Amino acid sequence: MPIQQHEALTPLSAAILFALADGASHGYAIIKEIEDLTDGDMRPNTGSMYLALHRLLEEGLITESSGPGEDARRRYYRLSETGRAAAKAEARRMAQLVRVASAKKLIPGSAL
Amino acid sequence: MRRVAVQLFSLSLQLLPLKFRLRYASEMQDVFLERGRDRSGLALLIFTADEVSGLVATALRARFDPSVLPKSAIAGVIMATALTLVVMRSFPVSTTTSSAVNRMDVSAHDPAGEFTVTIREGKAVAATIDRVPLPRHQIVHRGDSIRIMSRGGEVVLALAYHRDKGQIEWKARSASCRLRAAECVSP
Repeated sequence: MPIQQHEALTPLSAAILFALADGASHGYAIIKEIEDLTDGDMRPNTGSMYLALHRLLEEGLITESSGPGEDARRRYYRLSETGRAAAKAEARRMAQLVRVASAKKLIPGSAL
Repeated sequence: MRRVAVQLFSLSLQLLPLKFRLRYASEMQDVFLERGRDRSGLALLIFTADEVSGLVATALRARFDPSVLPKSAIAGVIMATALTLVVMRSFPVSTTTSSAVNRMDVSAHDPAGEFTVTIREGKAVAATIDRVPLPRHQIVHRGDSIRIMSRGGEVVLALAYHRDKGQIEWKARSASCRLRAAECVSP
């Protein structure tokens, strides 16, 4: 299968795609997931989050859907196939950078 | 304190481009409320300041983002951003009027948002709701009564015009009509 070229994502866009990797989620849950995944290092404000969500929607990397029955009024977001491929590409890119950083002993004891 | 924080955030949402605001503002407001729920006092103040400054930055970036505004619009936009913080009370109603000979311009806001009415030669000739101009047929002026109608013909805003005093009065619209005031009939 040919490898698609995906442009590098901004840190926040990448974090959003990773947060959605397990399934659809709404805005507040995405922010909480990002904070949890980064141990609090990344705490996007609401404005930045929604601008990033909008860009990802426009680029077709995520799609909107309605929530489950009792939460129908919330807007949920999920990865598209293109978005999942972009997230994988970004993860590979980051892993490569971590390998470089580890080889240069910038990161002590990398598991990669 | 929490009410002021919510009102500051709501006010700051007005900085966002109209289409972006119509699409996301309600959701952003919900997220702000959820994120601020467990905060109080100084923590709430810091959180609110961070969120409001984030909205200012987002508004600037959004106005020059081709995914939010088309490039042709960006080329024509000159952004001069000033954030005016107004502490609003429970039923924020304020008006400003300017009048020249035979003309009165009313600019007002209440919990549902902003509106303007232009009265020329004693007749309401123009109006906007949330900065969107309304067609003439949606402005009905009879005697001392000015009614702003929705597209469906329902009254969304009823004003009493006191020509002799150069004043208007109206019953504040509900906050539940915010961001859809042109089509919302207040309970």
